[in-house]
Amino acid sequence: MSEPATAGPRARFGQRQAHLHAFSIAWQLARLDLLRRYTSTMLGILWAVLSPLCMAAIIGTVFGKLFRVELQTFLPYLFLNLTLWAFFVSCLDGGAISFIAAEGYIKQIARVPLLAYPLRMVMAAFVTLLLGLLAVVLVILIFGGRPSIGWLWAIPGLGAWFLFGIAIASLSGMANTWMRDLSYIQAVAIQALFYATPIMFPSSLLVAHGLQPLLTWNPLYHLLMIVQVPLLFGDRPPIEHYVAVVLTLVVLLGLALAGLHGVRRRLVFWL
Amino acid sequence: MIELREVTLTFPPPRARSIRERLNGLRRRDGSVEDDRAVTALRDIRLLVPPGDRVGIIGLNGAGKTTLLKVMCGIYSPTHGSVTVEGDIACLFELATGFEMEATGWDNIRTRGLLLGLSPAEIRERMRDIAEFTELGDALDRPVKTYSMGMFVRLGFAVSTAISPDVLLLDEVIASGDMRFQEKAQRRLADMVDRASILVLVSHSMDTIRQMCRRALWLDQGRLRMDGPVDEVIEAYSAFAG
Repeated sequence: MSEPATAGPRARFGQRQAHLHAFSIAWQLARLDLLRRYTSTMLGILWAVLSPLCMAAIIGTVFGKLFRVELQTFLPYLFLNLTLWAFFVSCLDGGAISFIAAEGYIKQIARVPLLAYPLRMVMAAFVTLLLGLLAVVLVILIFGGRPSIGWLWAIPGLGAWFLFGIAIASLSGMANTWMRDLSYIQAVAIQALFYATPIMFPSSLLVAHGLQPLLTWNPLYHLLMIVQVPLLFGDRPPIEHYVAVVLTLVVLLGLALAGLHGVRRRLVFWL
Repeated sequence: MIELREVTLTFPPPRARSIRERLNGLRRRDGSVEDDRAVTALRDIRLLVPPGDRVGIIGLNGAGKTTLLKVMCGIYSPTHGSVTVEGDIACLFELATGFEMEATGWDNIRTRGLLLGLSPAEIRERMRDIAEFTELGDALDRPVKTYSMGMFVRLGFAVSTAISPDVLLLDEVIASGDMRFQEKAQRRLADMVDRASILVLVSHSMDTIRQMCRRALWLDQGRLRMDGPVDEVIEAYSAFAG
């Protein structure tokens, strides 16, 4: 069956450009989300930075003592991890409501590529992530880190995080639209993952206790490493992390895009 | 040109939306939850609308009129059959929905423009005209959650009519707004209709249909009951609906 013509982007520009147009739509909506988030509170944009920073300070003080690690290296480590983790959670949670929140658009205005709606959430979360990273860099410098050309290795790393965000937000969006109370299970899973991933503790701790497989098979660990190594040590991350990340992205993005394609005619009935 | 070939649209039954409902369904072994509640909104619709045609759709509430428009513009895909539309297409449905409540009027113009397929440059170009047409003035700087129903309609109407499509689908959009705006809206709509090659209009007002259309379709419980010259169809429908 041929694809029906649709009002809106597809009709005006053809299918390929409709996908490019979806980026404009997503960015417009993301911009509104950011404006709302950062102008409706007194501290505004500072919140994005302050909340992981406070978390890092508290956890750092306590765990730093427990693990007997120096705050000077531990605090930037924590802060960076928590900032990346916040992006991960925003993508999952934002993605979960991405189609539901767009019901009025999907049912009443026009059909645009579904990707636009999770992408909106990812774009907003990514801007917040970039702001957070500015603060992370500041903290690194305060604690005696020196600017290094190796920091640039973080750029492909962040690109990978962005793609990762698109994949998980889309998957979360489809799953949660299909089954509304999946979000509770999702919340538990996120919590479990938080403790299984070396975020609040050094990864060496897992290795020391014979839990190496928890690292090897955890895609988040590899995703963390490809930003951590450049920013904290000014080095190129070991190649194995890139391999793991690329494999993860191929699988997740493949699933997400195939899924969006598969539900493009059905999703409207789930709303 | 619009062509519908044996179009049937069945809305899936209300699905198990929660895990509990789904488990209950499993316990009933078939896994389904009230499967008999699937609604067939359109049945075997065959239709050819050539360029230049002006078509009115009439029928009782729930006959499938709006659904038919939504199938034509691709919001719903038919369960069976196929839809072909040639040309640039635009549809005006309920104008008061689909807003970003916390955002300003300006930002909602931008958002809706993009959703309707205008490029960012086109929107910038037409922004002033659209804003002027709404007559909302300073209210455009306020979040739209402060708007009244009539203001939503003005905003939605102004953006949705900023394009001139080949195929125009209208769903009784002019029902709201004050008198003065209605007049203005009618004029703008008439312009748009003049420029469009095809018009498909859903209305309960037989006068409007007579005025704007040459051909009428009578939908009854999802079926195309009659298709012909506007006067004949309206006459038959009036006799039926009494």
